Amino acid sequence: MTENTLVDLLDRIVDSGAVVTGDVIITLAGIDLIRLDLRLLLVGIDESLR
Amino acid sequence: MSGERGLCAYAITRGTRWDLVGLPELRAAGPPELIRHDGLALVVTEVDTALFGGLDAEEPAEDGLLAKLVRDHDAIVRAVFEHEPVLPLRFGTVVADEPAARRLLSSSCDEVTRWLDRVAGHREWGVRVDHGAQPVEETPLTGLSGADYLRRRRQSRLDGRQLKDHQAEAAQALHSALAGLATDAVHRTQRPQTLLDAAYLVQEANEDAFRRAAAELGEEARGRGATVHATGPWPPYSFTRLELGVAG
Repeated sequence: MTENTLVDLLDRIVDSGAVVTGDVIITLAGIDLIRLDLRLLLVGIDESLR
Repeated sequence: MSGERGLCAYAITRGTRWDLVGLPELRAAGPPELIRHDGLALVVTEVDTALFGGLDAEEPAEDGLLAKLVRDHDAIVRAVFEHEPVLPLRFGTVVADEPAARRLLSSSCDEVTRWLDRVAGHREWGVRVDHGAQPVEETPLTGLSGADYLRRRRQSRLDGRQLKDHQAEAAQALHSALAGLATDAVHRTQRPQTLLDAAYLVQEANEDAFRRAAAELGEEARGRGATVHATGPWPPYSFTRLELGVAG
């Protein structure tokens, strides 16, 4: 259990956290797309490490 | 490129006693501030909203904007987490100004206070178990009769299936033991090769037992050819299925 890699961080953070609705000016509307891309990226990185 | 100014909101914590001493230098965001209201505090930095506009176009990379913003987000949430229970907000949440921040705190006060009380004294740990590779065919196939060859192939397929079953059993045993030592456990989104991808909310008093069980049963799963990836401690990122809205 050592320093977190960027992959671990993205995997933890991008899809988590309480959602604020209503009084916000951004909630990163495109984040779901980014997340999908990341998932692909994560799988790719995982596989290349094996 | 410049756009509207806003307050990027990272986390909500208790409004008492705490200040922002010892926060690491941030990569992309300005210095964080606390907005206190109703016994809670919202941790924010002032941002140009155009900053987030660049994310869609960007390829995720180690030194890219997304990486910087995500590392800032984690650094801020962790800095709070070292002092007080923390509710992380969704990455990239921006509110208009201080009055909007105060409205958010007052409208969600009861729910957030209950949530902070629940996670106080806990840290999150992650464990992922993936299927390992199939065993390699060790004996050479030359010189086998056709029937022997077919029998060998069938046996090898059976071994592969059995190995997968054994790995799945080990992952299940690992999860049962860890969930038993945790206050809460959630399954995360699974990928095809994944046998277990779970997050555990563990009380500090149970951490030694938890880590021992993770090490021992993780080793058992590795012995059966699975790969085990453990991370932590984390702020309670995976236990934040809350929606905080301003009513009306």
